[in-house]
Amino acid sequence: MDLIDKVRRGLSLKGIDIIDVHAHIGEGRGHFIVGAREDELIKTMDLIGIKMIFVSSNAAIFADEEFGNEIAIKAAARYPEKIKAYVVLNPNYPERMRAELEKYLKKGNVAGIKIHPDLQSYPLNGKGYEKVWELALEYDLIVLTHSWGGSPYADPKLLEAVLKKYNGIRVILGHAGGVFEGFSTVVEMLKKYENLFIDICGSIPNSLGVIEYFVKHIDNDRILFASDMPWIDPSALLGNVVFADIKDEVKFKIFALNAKRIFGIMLGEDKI
Amino acid sequence: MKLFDTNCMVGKFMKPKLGTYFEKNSLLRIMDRAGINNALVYHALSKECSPCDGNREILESVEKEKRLFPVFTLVPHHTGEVENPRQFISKAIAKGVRSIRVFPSLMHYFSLKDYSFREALAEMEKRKMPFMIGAGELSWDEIDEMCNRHPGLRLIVMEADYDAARFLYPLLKRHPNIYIEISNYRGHRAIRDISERFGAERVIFGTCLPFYNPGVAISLLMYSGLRQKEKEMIASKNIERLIKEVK
Repeated sequence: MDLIDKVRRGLSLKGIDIIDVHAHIGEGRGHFIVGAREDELIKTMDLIGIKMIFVSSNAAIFADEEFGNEIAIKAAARYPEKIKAYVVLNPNYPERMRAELEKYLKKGNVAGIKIHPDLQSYPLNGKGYEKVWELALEYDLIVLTHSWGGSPYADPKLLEAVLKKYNGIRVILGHAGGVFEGFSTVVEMLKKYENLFIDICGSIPNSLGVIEYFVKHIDNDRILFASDMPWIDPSALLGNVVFADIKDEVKFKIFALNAKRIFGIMLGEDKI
Repeated sequence: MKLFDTNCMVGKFMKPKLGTYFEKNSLLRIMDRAGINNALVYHALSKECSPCDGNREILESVEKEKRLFPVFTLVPHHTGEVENPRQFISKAIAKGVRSIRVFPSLMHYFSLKDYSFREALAEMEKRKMPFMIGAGELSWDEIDEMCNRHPGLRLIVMEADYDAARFLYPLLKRHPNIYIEISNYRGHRAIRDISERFGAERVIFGTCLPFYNPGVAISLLMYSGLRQKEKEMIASKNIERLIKEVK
């Protein structure tokens, strides 16, 4: 039975490793989310066969990062084999970043740093984010940033100055630039900077042909599976990859092989 | 499981995106690959230009294609662009049309209020013709108001986004003839939650081809956590029942 058949039957893909590198936890602003807390997220993961999710707290990205980070870290502490937490850092409070990050690095289960230039209303190349890049290099952490073509805050082009200045920084462009108009910029940037990656969650990345486009134009080892759960049900993004007209070996890379390598993760069945 | 896609478009349109197509044969190929059995299809001209041209084109496109069913587009009859609704809908049914879709805000600029569209809504209500409208075309308040005036109208809200729940839930409770098509309704467990609260009979499968990957909607349904019977209702039985009841 091939992958499409399995999805058509709603069968768990637990035989395949799937790691979701861009998810959220907790209630947020703007609309009702069903099952936003860790117990419910885990049920969904088990239904589909997702082995691990990396979450940032909705409260952290919408309002108070310190209040919100606690939610994400506690969830990761309850389910350390299944949940890792991004520590959200806020460029509007740069002086608080080090203490906030180090507090959680001591506790463990940290996936990396998350920033959201659009919700934080702060440009990616702005001064307030400088501490983020410095800390990411100091602690060898990956930074997941929301990215959105055309945004005065989150356009991927804004990252160029950062990548030039902070050599070695590893950044995931969340939503791969978000909109069609951003995709070609993302492709050019990934060709230029080897420590840049994309994740494929969001509304526009669900569109017909988008996965195929990125697989064709960028290094397939730098495309990461993500859902934006619980804003979006991860089954939607799963279907987007499974039904994409690409080879299965590339799907497996997107699902987990790339994340394992980039984040240095070993899952239960992996051999040392 | 049989899949009946209620939201497909064919025909060349102004701004193609990455993987989009416009030929009917491309739609059929995608349907085959995805395992979609049947589809309700409107023509791009209906939306982007003239409903009259589009309606004629879709009949030609789906002629002899047993898997594809035409969707007509309508504008108010007062300008004489289309016949009066009674004639229009009768002729549409005779031609095999079992669903009508409108684009009043973003494309064709007209009102769905009584002064403009009463006769059309009344006729669709009387004939039990499924009436499709994209979530971005009307405000939720306007949907409520329209359904108050036409309580028997079988309204299918297409492409509602995952942020619609706070509007949708009271509407679904208040208006038993509102249905929701799932192509864009992608929130975590959103389909299951709506089905459990309001009944799976209110939920309708659609992919929004050629814009979205059909795997999105298929996967949302198959991993919804609903029972097999409820999935089958959403997948095809609900729309088949609505189509069958057109008088």
